[in-house]
Amino acid sequence: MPFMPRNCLVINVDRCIGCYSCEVACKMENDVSLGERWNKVVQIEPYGEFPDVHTFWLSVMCQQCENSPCVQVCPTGASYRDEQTDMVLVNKEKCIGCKYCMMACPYGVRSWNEEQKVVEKCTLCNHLTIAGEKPACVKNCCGTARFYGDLDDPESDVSKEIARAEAAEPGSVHHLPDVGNGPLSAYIFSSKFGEWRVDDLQQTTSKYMTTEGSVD
Amino acid sequence: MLLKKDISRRGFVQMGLFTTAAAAMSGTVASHLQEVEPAEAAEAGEEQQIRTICRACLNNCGIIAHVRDGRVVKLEGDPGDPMNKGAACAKGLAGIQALYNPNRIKYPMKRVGERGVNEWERLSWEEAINEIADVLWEHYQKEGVKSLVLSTGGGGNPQFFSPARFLTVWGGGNFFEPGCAQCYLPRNHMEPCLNGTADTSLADGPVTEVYLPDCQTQVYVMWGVGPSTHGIGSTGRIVTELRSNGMKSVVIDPRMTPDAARADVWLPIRPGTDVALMLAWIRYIIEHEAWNEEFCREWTNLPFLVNSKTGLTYRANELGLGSKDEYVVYDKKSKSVKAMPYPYDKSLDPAMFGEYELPDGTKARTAFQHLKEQCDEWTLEKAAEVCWLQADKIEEAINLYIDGTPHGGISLGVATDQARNSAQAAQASAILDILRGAIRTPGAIVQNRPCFVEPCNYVVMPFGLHGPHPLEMPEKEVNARLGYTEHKGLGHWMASHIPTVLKAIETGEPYRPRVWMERSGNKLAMIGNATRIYNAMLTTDMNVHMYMHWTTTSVCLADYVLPTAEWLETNYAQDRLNTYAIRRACTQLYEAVDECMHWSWMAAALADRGHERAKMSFDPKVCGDFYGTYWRTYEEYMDFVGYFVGSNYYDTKKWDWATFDAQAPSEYQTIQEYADKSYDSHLDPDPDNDGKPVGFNTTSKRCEPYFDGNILLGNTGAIDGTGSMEPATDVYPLSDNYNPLPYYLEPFETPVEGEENYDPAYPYALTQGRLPAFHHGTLRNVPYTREIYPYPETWINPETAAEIGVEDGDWLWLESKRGRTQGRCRITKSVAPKVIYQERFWNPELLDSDDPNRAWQCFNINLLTQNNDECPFNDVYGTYTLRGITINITKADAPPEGCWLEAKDFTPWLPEYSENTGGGNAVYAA
Repeated sequence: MPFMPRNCLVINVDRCIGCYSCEVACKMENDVSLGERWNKVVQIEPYGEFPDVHTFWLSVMCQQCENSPCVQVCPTGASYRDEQTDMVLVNKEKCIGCKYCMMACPYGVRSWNEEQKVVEKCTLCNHLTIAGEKPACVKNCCGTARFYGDLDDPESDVSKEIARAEAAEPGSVHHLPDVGNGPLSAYIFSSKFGEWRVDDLQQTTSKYMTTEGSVD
Repeated sequence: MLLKKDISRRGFVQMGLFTTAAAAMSGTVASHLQEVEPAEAAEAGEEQQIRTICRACLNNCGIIAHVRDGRVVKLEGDPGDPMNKGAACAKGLAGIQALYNPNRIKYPMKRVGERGVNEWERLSWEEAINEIADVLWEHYQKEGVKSLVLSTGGGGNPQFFSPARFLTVWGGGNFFEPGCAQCYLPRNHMEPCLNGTADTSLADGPVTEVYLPDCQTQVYVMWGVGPSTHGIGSTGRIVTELRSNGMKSVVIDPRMTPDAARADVWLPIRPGTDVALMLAWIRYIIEHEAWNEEFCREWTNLPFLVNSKTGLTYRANELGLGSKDEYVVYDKKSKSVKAMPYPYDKSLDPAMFGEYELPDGTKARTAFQHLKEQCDEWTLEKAAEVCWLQADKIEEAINLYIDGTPHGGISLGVATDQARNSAQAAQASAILDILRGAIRTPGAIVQNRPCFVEPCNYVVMPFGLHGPHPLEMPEKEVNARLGYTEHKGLGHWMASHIPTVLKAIETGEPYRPRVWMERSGNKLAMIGNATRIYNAMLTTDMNVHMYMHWTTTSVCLADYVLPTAEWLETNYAQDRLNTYAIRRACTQLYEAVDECMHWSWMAAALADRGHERAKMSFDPKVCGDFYGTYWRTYEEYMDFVGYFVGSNYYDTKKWDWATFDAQAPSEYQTIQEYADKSYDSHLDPDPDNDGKPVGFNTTSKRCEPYFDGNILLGNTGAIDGTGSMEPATDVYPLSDNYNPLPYYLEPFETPVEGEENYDPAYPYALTQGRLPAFHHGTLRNVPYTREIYPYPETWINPETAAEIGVEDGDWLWLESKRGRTQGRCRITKSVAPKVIYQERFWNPELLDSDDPNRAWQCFNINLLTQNNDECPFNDVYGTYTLRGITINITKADAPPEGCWLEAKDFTPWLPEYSENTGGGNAVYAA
């Protein structure tokens, strides 16, 4: 089997300060419609007994699943895994707008482009990353909380950040709930800041969000 | 960082003008290469990257603007900037949508018909300037200088002092800003008065220590500070970085901000009670002898004896003990009262506490004794009760602070500036860092790295801001400023007192301002008790509004609106630690103009009409190099900016804009020089004082936690607390002195049963606070920021929500004694029971409705806040209360009609791309 990179985003939730810069950076870079978000930040409502409460901001975007259900259900091959980069992407020319992939995605991170009648999602800014740049959300992140790279390359930003977190506190690296799809993206959250509570994304509260986004 | 091509202003202007012409002729911009200098030319369609600085808030983060065919197509953080290092927040990144917003004010406009109706006709710049100048000149001749009132705001405006500069030229009148006494002035003025060094505002720039490589800060107390919601790319980034590297942090804030969520201790304080908590911290430090003995003995006025009649520290000559420059201590060794020479007499052993008999038989206590008695009642338990906190949490926070200082300290944020105890909070906070010796030590928050123009390094300054000047405002006009006599701290920013200005407009007492010229966003959303300013400003003879976007101030009140440039259209300069950064205009749309030109052109028009001071403001001999003259063209202004930076930072008087532009951003000092210049700098030899230490920048050259200068400020208006008890000839002395020590006052409207003024009809305490997607009143019409936060949330603790009987998502009415407005219920443990949080809001989508006034009424928390005469103002600054008023909440049937609540609603505000026209500068020059 030829060498295939496993590119994804890794988020250090300890460092996320809920500023929504990544959302706007993504939308400006990719010209995402109003009401749609390829990357969405949701605040987990403070939990615990006041004033000893905990909260965190969770950034949800395409997890670059190893067994991606969106690719499996797509009838036309519009949702596909790129042979060069192994990234899960959408070929808009092939998309017929059936939205099966939107229903199949466990994280609701696919958006409907009403103008073009096609499905879209985070591309890991592949037009930038191909040129050696970082994705817009990573580049502009105000908390230096976002990392991009290849999980199989120990020298990549994502591998180094995960290794650092595991060394600092074993068990502090989390994933979104896995129903067999194998999400690649990892989330670092230290126990000193609270309990990792994302078992049910429907439960997350975010009044910052309009309802047209994908999670709720 | 290698950029493809930095483009100079000169090349840009030429290209811009040619582009417009070519487009007009042929509809194409095919080739303009021969028109620009080869090194700066861009192929058509090629993207250029311009290094500039943001102004979506006042942090000025480094930004790289991508420009293609004259259009700004992308913004990103500049990795080369020493403070934001590549980060850029939602507000900054949305700059393109602000720039090309269809809601821009594009041309000078004049009202057609009545105020309050959104109908306008277009004017040329020449017509607009001359018509306004005619009205000004008529009032000047008929009513005199007091007829004019100017205002500005903090909504990203880099020319904060422009209106004050114009007033110095005009010769009198009033200037106000809704921040000022309610934002930053109390800290900016009071903290340096005590610590002789600097204020501690992270948002406004003086906190430089945290950005240094290998920062030593061990503990950071963020008191009403929200780094993650204001200058996020710089402040949010660096605090996150330091916290991740092990710095301890304490956040004191009624609401659980992102920084509170990551702090070692969060104290959700009851709004408006901060000084009570500070006094408890001071008491704890005294009780536990945790004050820095050597520093307090040798470098503060704490051991000095205080005259119990005047409240002033004794000078040695008053008691026949020594000279006027010496103070008086009780020497424990000789058991006698002695003069303390500067800097310190090591043969003396001054008593820090106690009361002693003077040679004349009277008794005097040390300043420290006064401080100790002042906070004696403030036990942890009492503070916990008053502030709605837990005593053990308070103690944990104090001990983190004690353990980490002097290599750490406190930043005081805007919260305490918005309550009646504003001055006292700044005093108490400064005292804490002084007690801990956390002044000018590595890692301390208080550092001595002055920039030339405080606050926030403004380049365009009022004449006389830094000493006597032929064009400074005449003293009798200074003293006639409304509210200045009672609140002399306003003099630090040459400002007037907003409620007193409004009262003067309402009553004509002591005189009636008749013309209002306002340069900021939406005053009706940002000023406390908004209904009052609306009613007052309806009665003036002329209102002029200058802004980038239409607001209710323009639609409901203005007679003329003047288009103002967005930050992507302006040229400016700003220090960023040891570097000097540059804001470069990336395009200039319609007829918008940098506001420095509005005021310049107005001055020129007045000069044409015979206004003598206005004539002088164009005379280089009168104005001098430091302030510069007014400017007839934008190029003249830009050259002044270049000159200013060169002469003050790069030791050359030869710079113009082109020389600045050619090398900026660049370092004017190494980072090591920049860091080191502060540490222990009070010990540097003073060549003007026999090589003795230069000391701190106070009257006594020591830190003055007992700030008796406050008494002198009240009596003489001496803003730095210097001077004598002899009132200056023209200054009206106060009836009451300002207190040298901080004291606590319960919020005037209290949610505490049993307190005076408790009203069961308004049982909840309201607070406000920043959101990451907006700066003050800005960006409500920018689609990508507004969709993040389409309507204001009302945060209610679950316990309180149950008491009121409301549920998540309910629409609510919030009501105070002054008015009512709406919000949407968010039930959250981010606030304590009985504490309500809602941020300022307004709805630009209603400007075109039948009733544009609803745009500032539907969701505006400032209909509830105070600036009425019944509300007691802060003594020193006249601060009115924005945080810590009481309200009631009831359920509403529905959201306000016509307000856009869904993301798709904001579609009409998506960018309307426009060519680079060169702005108003291309069509007018004075």
